[in-house]
Amino acid sequence: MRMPVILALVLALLAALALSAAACSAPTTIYFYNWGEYIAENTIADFEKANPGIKVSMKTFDSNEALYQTLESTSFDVIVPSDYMVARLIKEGKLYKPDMAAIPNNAKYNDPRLKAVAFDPDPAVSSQMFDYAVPYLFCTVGLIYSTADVPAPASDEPADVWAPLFDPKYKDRIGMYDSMRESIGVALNVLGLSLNTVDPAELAKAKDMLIAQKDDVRPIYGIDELKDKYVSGELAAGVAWAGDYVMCLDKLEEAGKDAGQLGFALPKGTNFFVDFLAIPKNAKHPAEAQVFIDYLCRPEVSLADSEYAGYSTPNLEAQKSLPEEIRSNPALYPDDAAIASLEVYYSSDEIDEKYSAIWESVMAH
Amino acid sequence: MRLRWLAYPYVLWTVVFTVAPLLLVAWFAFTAVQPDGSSAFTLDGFRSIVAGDRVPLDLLGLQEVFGLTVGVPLYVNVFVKSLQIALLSTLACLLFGYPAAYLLARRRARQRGGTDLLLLLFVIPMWMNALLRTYAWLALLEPNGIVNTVLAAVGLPKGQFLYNDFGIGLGMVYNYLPFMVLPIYSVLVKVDRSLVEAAEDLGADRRRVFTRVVLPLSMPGVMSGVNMVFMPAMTTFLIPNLLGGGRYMLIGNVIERQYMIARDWTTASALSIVLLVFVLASMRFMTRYEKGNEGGGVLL
Repeated sequence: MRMPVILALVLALLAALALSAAACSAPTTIYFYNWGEYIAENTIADFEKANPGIKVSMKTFDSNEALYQTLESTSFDVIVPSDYMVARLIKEGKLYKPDMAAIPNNAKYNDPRLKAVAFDPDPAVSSQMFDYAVPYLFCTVGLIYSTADVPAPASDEPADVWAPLFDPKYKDRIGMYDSMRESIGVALNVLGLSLNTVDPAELAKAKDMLIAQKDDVRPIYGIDELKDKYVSGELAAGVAWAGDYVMCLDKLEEAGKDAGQLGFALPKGTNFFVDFLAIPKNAKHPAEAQVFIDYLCRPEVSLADSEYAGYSTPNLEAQKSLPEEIRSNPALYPDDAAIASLEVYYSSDEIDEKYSAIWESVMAH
Repeated sequence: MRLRWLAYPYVLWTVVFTVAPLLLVAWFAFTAVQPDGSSAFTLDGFRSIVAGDRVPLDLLGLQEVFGLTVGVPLYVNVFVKSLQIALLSTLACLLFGYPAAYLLARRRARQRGGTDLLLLLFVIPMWMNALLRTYAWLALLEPNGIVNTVLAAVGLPKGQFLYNDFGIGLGMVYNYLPFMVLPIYSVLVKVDRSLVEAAEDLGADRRRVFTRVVLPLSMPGVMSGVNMVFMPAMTTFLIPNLLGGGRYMLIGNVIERQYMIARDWTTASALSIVLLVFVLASMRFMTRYEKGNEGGGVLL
């Protein structure tokens, strides 16, 4: 999972095997590179049934950076980069420009509000996002908390919402993502700073805050392992993607517990991100890839994928079929005012280097 | 000599899996990829080890007992912390492991052949993957885990066993104890009974027999046990990863993160080289000590 070179070799080998197999049979195989557990279990099988000429072979990755590295050496037909990675790939000329007329479901169903979001500091890049990529699912970053231990935040001011994460009262019971952007983002958000700042003085403040937190509150750092700890009540609060919160609710339900045990709060100015479907320039079957992307934009498919992954769907038609408590939760489906206050991550070498240096030294403390 | 070609596969093995990777690590440690894609010589990797933030040295008792606060670079502190926990774990393994090996060897001497059930029970956990065994500790020691549930049921306060020195130390002692016991055991079972009898005949009491005969004879086993525990304990990243709650960083974790997450191969390789040199030096020290025990070595 964390060995891109070996992964690439294995993938190349598998691709070679699959290609030699495909040479003997009629259907075209398209290669789909997706996040783990990010598509409903029967979506691909149903698609293949509906389109007998196309087979889909899916591989998974666990970070945008891993996706970026693998793209260099392997050809995929459909990938799922997050917004900032789409912008980076556009800037580097690594995306194929699809024929949007072949993906009619995108314009028909997907939330047009997303097009207004500045996904890149450069408006020229931001305006091209939707020429190259189609929104798949989106998600916000907020506070997950145990309603029994932590009072609901007094307001949606960042300092109020994130307060439990820095409160020694919850020593050993706080969860932080071992992910530099989310964790540094929390500190920046509390300080009222931009989540994309590269100002050394501002970043130093965020770093000091996180080091003090590590000493005083002693959070648990992780990603997937945190979910079970919120469900079991081991952790009182933490930073979480809304998708993880929804998955925790599912787990509570499975365990026969009350879903009201966990709450989720969205502070002003926090991050939200959109994962896009895109076709890399080195794709071998872009025409078939467009058919697949269009299929994923069908309301019933998008609904199933959204419910499976726990992430929000940008598909307005699909949203109508969601359970009321999900659809009306402003943390999962933010209203216009909330969307306007949220900030997307930008990516550049400078940001990557500075944030990575800070995060590694926080973790080594 | 005629069978010399039999060694070629091992030479190939060593070259491919030991020499070449080591050279690669050394190469990465002294080079950095430039923006244009080429590699250039640099000492930045080693510089960033000592650059970093200055933090108070986290050496056992230094602050508590002596009230001293020594500022050191961040990574040096991690290194000292790793060394300290590796040494303590090795010591604990020795203290628990030697008596165990001694008892097992005594039973073996009395049984004369056959498989010892006790020895078998000692080895059986090693048939399981270390990952699984360590995960089991997680289930036991979690804040809401089995041990704490039992403690709470009998009215005792819950303890924080994981994500701290105790949890990591326990994980190390549990995982590495067999590496201490088995070498000592295999040396002890080979100790010639007649030497012990001779000592007894010459009037040595049991304590003297042990301290003057058995213990010196078993030193090579102790030394190889110490080596086999200290080295993985110094370099592990699995145990702190699993039992450290993501917040407990030893030198192995720092190197892993630099390679895998920060993708700073130069610093990661430089750290690896420093660690490697250190481990080699301590091994050299151990083997020299072992040679000093020629009296025992000859008989074995």
